[in-house]
Amino acid sequence: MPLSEIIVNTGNILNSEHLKKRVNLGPQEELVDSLREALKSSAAELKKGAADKPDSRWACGDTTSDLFAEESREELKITVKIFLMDVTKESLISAVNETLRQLQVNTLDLLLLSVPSNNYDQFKEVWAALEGYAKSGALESIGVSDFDLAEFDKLYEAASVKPSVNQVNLESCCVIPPELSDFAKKNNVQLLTHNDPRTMLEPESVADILKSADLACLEPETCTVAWLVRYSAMVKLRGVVKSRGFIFSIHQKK
Amino acid sequence: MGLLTEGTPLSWEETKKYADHVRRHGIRQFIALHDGLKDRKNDGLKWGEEIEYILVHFDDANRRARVALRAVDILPKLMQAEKEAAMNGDEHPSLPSLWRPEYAAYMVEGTPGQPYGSEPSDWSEVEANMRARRKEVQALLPEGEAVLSISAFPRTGCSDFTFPPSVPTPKDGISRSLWFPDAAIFPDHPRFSTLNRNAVQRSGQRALINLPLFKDERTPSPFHEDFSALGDEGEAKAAAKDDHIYMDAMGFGTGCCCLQVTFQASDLEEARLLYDELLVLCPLMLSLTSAAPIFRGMLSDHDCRWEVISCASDDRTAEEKGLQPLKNDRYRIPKSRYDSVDCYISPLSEQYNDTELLVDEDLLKVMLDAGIDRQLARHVAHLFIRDPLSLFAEQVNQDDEHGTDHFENLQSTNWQTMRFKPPPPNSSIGWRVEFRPMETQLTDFENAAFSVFIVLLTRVILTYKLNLLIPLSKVDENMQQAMKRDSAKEGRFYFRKDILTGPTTRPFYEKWFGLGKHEYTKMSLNDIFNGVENEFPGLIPLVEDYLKDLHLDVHTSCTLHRYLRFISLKASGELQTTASWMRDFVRSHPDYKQDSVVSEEINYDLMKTCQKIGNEEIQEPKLSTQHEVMRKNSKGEGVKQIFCL
Repeated sequence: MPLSEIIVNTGNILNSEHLKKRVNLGPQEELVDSLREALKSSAAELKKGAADKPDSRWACGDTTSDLFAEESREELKITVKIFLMDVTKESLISAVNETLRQLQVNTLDLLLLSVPSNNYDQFKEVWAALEGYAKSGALESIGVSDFDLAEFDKLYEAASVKPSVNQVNLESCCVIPPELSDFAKKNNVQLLTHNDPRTMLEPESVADILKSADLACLEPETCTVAWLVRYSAMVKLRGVVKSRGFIFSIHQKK
Repeated sequence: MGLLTEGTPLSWEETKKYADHVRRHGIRQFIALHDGLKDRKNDGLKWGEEIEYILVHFDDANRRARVALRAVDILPKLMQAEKEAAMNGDEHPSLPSLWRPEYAAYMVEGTPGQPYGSEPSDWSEVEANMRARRKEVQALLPEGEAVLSISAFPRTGCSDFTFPPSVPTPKDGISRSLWFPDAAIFPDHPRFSTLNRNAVQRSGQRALINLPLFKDERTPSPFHEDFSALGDEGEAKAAAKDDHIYMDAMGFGTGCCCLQVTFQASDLEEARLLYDELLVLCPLMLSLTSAAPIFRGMLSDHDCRWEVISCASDDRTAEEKGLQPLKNDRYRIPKSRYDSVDCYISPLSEQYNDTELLVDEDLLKVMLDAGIDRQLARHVAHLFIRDPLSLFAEQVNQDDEHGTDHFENLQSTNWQTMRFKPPPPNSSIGWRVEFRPMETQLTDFENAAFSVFIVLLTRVILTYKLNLLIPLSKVDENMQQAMKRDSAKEGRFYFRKDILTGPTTRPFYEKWFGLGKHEYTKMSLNDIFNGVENEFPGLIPLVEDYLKDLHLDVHTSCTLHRYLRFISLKASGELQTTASWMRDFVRSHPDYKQDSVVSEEINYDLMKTCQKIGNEEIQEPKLSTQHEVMRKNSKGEGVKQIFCL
């Protein structure tokens, strides 16, 4: 019988076994590879879960957080990017809560939101939910990804907690349109670079991952990915990256 | 830089008498330092770079370039702000730059006023700081003189190479060289002339450098020089080798410039780890930055200064060199005190120390008895086989619990490819590591790129727990490769095949059967830095992967990626090394006679061009990608855009 939602955490993918395989993989390949691994290694757990408690949420993969083995929370900068496929308040809340839970922290330093459409009206509920977290102190700062000036301006005007970051693609980091960089300067917005594709997980990749994990409880045709999170933790005073990983949520349609 | 305490230098005989005293107290000082500071933890990343510059005088009317003996004039002005701050009791003033004298009267050395930090945005400020320093010196120079970041002045030692004019004094003075005048030694600090004089007296002879000559089509073969007209009474004749560029003064080497990077580690363990990992990279970075293919006005068969400066600073006696049986000296010493590192210093690297390490056994015992671990003790005991080369009367007696001058005396006169630096007493500075092999490049863009790259590599080593270790004997072989002409493009260097799996203990017997032969292989710089698909990740792709998690702002991202691209192209050979470019410049010059000689004419044009490149008046696309950025337009076509800073 199918499970209703499964949260998969890849754990820290910076260890050497992983690295050997994935160095020079593009961001999508890195993601797909890590998720596939995580699902495979949790297969037994998931099968049991499907048998014991269907209709519930299961977290699997590497759920131990080694973030604080050597450093304290204050020494780390934790940055999270949410690729929100199901653009609803519920999914956003699930993503943030689950991330906090998986990382075993109460706060995140920066949360970046990537949505399929940058039209404010399409995601304003989601943004409001983010603002809630920011106001409560769970998120130190919030931002968006790949917004052009018009889209960003609209968000900035409407927001009660202003976005402090807009991500721009690495390809164009040397040729930022002057209007965008002026706006950013004037309003204390950071323009940070990334090289993620717009769609991190194509539906075919999801089906592919699920098929290769070979879990009867997860029929690919009935599964969707509601959200995907990439997290990274860096030791601020040393510039050493402690951890990088992915968390994603698979929903079963009933 | 070296120890610049002021004072009255003792004569060589007196300095020699105190050798044991300095060593014994130096060890006590090291033990006190170590004990007090070994548990220091959590120091953040702070780092800095040092660039040495050469001052050049241009006589445009007669098309002559000479070294300008100008350091005495401009250094007091450069150091003014720091001196005033010190007089007002401010030991750590907030200045944009700091300046120090160097060996030659035509050199100055500059560093940033404050260390750079751990914020990537700091790292994109390095270039601007360097540019400001260049301007600062240039502003103090009279019309017709310029500051250049070149590794060596090509016609050092040739007739009439200084301005104002000066003559060598082979029969007396400090260098006693056939070519290098004492006037070219920086006069205002006793350290340099004292070091020189004492090295000559200790070794019993003038510096002895034989640099392989580049034999071109019309170079005499064999190439043989007659020095009698210069006043040689036989010493030069006996010392000089055919087909070599013979040099006989410390100044030929210590008058060269380099680019050094020092950074603070979070604790003692990390400092030792990074020291070891980076020492493997020394030969590779030397090769990539090589910029000194011309000495005494002739093209050499080496691309860099290393051999010259190593021999120039060599104070070993004939006995120590193994040319005579040991009678008066303690040891047969394989290397000059200026040369590559002789041992790894962290516990897991001990297995790769496959060369014989010469140590002072008595001092080693003192350290072991005091609880210093074996590897660290052996490292220091190796540095301390040397005699102090200079000692000031005021320094002789010190409080070993609080002073460190005796330790620093020997520490700072072992000039190796890496330096492991304990914290100074009573300061906020932690355990540091200095990366020393690189040669200065012509522009601030290039110098910034190389400096920042080293720091990025350290972060990558720590983030991915990379293991670059290979047997030390192979690192030594890499050094020999690195010096050679065109090594950057043609050379093959031993490198570890699997750098992603951490170090593990080897079976003890491997030491006898050829240590881990299967662990390393010969690779080109292109392979090492850019990777081999499905086989080897490449250092630059690893840095790019690391940068993803730093969430860089656009300016920093642009800067760092441009630096990586520049280094990637240097490693692949698409960009020439500075040395290779200089060779081509000489050999295609109308005045060149295919005889290895770099005439006054050629030298003038070369120096003028280097000056203009350094000032960014002209661009040299064969050397650097500073002014070009390839970006794809919306159709996916490659578009060249000129990037303006």
